[in-house]
Order: sequence, then structure tokens, then C-alpha cells
Amino acid sequence: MSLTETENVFAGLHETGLNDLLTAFFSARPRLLNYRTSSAVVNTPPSPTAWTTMPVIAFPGVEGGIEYAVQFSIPQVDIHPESAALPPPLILGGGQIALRTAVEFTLLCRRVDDDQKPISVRLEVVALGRVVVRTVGLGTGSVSFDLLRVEIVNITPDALESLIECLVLTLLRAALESLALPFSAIRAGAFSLNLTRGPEAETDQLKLYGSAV
Amino acid sequence: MADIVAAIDETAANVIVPSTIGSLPSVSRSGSGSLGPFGLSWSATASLTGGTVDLIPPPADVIRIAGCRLNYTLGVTLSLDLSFLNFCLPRVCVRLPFIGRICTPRICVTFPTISVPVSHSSFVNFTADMRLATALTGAVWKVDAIVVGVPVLVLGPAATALVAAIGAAVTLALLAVPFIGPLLALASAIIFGAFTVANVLGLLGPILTPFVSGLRIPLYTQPQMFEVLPASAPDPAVLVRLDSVAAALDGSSGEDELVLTIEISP
Repeated sequence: MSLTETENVFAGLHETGLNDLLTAFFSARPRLLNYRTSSAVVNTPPSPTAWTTMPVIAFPGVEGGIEYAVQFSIPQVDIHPESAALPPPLILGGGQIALRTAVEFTLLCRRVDDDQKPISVRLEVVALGRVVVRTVGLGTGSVSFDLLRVEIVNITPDALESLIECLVLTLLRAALESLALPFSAIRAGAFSLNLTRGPEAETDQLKLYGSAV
Repeated sequence: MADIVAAIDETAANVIVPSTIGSLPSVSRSGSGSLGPFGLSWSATASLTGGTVDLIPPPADVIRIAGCRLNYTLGVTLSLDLSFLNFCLPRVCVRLPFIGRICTPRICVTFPTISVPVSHSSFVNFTADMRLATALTGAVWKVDAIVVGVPVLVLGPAATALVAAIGAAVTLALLAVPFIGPLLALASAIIFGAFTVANVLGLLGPILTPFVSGLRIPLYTQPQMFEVLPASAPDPAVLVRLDSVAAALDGSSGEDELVLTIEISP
């Protein structure tokens, strides 16, 4: 079977190339992975531009509110078929992607003696999702990730695991909201196409098919 | 497998390549030569349009463009030395009584060298084979299709039209030369004897062929530091490095395609 198949133009991004693009994207824009209320919670990385500042969580009786931070590691994507085993019950289905990242929650904990110390926990996260077209136009367009579910292993009780998985899925979907890979990046600037088919996630590639512009 | 693979089939190639050819800027050249015994200087401007693309994978490994049109405008300045028409009137002598022999003065007519400008626009069709060439030059990756060898230009009709244009211009120029009236037929016979289609072909070929034999069609041009996303306040641009670019024609899967394979790094 030819690369273009029944279409005229083909662009295929292998998962190694996709992960290079994600590394480049989040290395240039780390504030999209790092969220905190203030530098008192956590200050690594030290540059203020590497952070998105969040409002404190207001709670009656908590003077100054609850301070926290959420950080994600640069996500890495595995396109169907799976290159590494997924934690059960996750199964990487046809046309799907698996996204791996680590999330670190930090809470600025107030103790009885008014001493405040940050407390952190780091969790490995695996998410299932799919690639969707974000925008499409004449010879242009972009794709993004639509995450469907998250799995974090070894949290007990199960209710706590479900709660944290829901929280992480919500935060991760929001963090990836700004990630839109243009078609031009997927084809490295070669052969503009009007999208007629795809994106398809198969054989470790993200595939776009179309007609010549 | 390569990080990025981009491919087009012949249908897409017949959209992309002619469009690229048509967007190439006009090229100008100038020079000098001769047409028979007469010297000339010339300047030419040419552009390209059209063409039908055939992707021919290995072993031939060429991109064949048929019916591509070279549109040209040619300006020629002929230098016609008319001194071959120079003549002197015969002297007439008489013997007069008491005076002696008297002769008429020696009267000679000389003809100048005239410049005849000729402007001519036309086109020629050609077929050319091209090979892919990839290079990293000045931190820019380029994949070009480069003409292989010297294409044959179908110059016959163009040469015939140019002969007619030269003839009209030379006729007009000769009529303006003083005293040429009685010698016009002789001048025309000698001058136009040099402007044969064969002679004009010998002039036109070396002028037009370089416009095609040096042709490069750019198929891919990107900086090595490729911009994934532009800067958008407060965020900087997102860049990746194009570590390698390779181009090839492939027909192994039953359909002829032009394939680019690209490796990137963050």
C-alpha cells in the first residue's frame, strides 16, 4: 500500500517525532505545566516566567487561603499499538494514544505553631485519549489531544484513587488545552494539504491525508 | 521509521510542480554573437509555465516534465556593415580643342554600418528530466529538482518567426539608408541570404537553452531551526531542529510517489 493510498498528499508523524515536538513545546512554554499560588510553595524551576500563578483556595477561617502547586512533567505519547505495557485496566485501542506524565501536588501546610512547610507527592499518570482536529482551513489546520480517562496505580482506598484520577484528568485536560500542533509541524513544512482524511493514530504514527493545495 | 514522512503522488505533483514553476521569477541574460557575416548583441528574458509531471522511480529515478513552456522576449541589435555596396561612378573624359583632356570628377558612394533593433516574443515547448538534490546550505534545508543534461528545445517555429521579424526590421532599416534605392534589391539578396532558419536556429539555441539546462525547481525549503509555533505573548516561539532531510522517488508500493523523510530533535 502506498503512503498516500487513495488520497494525494500524506503526512506521517512518528511517535518519537511527536514526543520531540512535545518536548520542544513544553520546554519553550513551561508555564503550561507549572501552576502555583506563590513561590513560597515551590520555587523549582526558579524563573517566574516558568510558572502560571493561581489564586489561593479561599476557606473560611484560613487566613490567606490555602496555597498549593501543581506540576506536570513533559508528557510523552505512545501511539497505537502500545510500545510499553499500560497499567490495567487500560487498553490502548485502535486509533488511540496513551499519554504518560508525572504530576506533583504540593501543599503549603500550616502547622499548629504557624510554621509552614510544603508537602509534596509525585504520582505517575497514564492517560488514554485520541487525537482530534482543533482547526481546519484551506491548506491549514491543527490537532490536539482529547484525553478520555486517567489511571494512577496504587492509591487506596479505591474512592480516593477515583477522586484523584478525576482531579488529575481535569487538570491535565486543562493544561493540554493550549497545545495545538499545526499541520505544518506534522509535515515539517512540506507539501501543504487540504485535509480529507485523519488524523489517524496507527502503526505508531499520527497520519494526515489530503489533496494538494 | 523516520520522525516525519511526507509524500505526494503524481496527481499532487501535477498541482505542486507546475505551480512552483509558474512562481519562479523571470531570468534575464545577455550576450553577443553573429548571424552569418553580421554581428549582433542580444538580451533575453524568459519565464516558465505549465508542464505535465511524471514521477519515474528507480532505476531511472527522474521527474519528467513534458510540455513545459519557456516564454521569452528577445531583443537583438544587428550590426549590418553595408560597405559591400560601396561604388564609384565611372569618370568620363573628353578632349576639348584648345583646352585639352577634361574628365568628370571621381564620385564615390559609401554606405554606413547600420544598427537594426529587433524585438521578438514567443515561446518554445520542451521536455526535461530532473533529479532530486538535497542540501543544507546556510542553515536552510533545500530539496530541488535539477534538470539533467541539456533538454532539446523545439525551436523550429520560433526560428521561423524570428526570421520574419528580422526580415521586417531589416527591410525598414534599409529603406532609410540614403541612395540605396538602386541597390536595394542587391542589398536585400545578400543580407537576407544570411538570415536563414538554419542560421537563426544556430543563434536561438545557445541563447534559450541555458534558461532550461540550468533550471532548479524548489520543492522544499525550510530553515534548519524549524518554527513549530510563532511567538505569542508572553510565550516564545517553539522551535525544533531538522537534523536530516532526505528525498526520493518510490514506486515500490505500486504507486509512484515523491517522499521526504525528516528527522527532528527538540
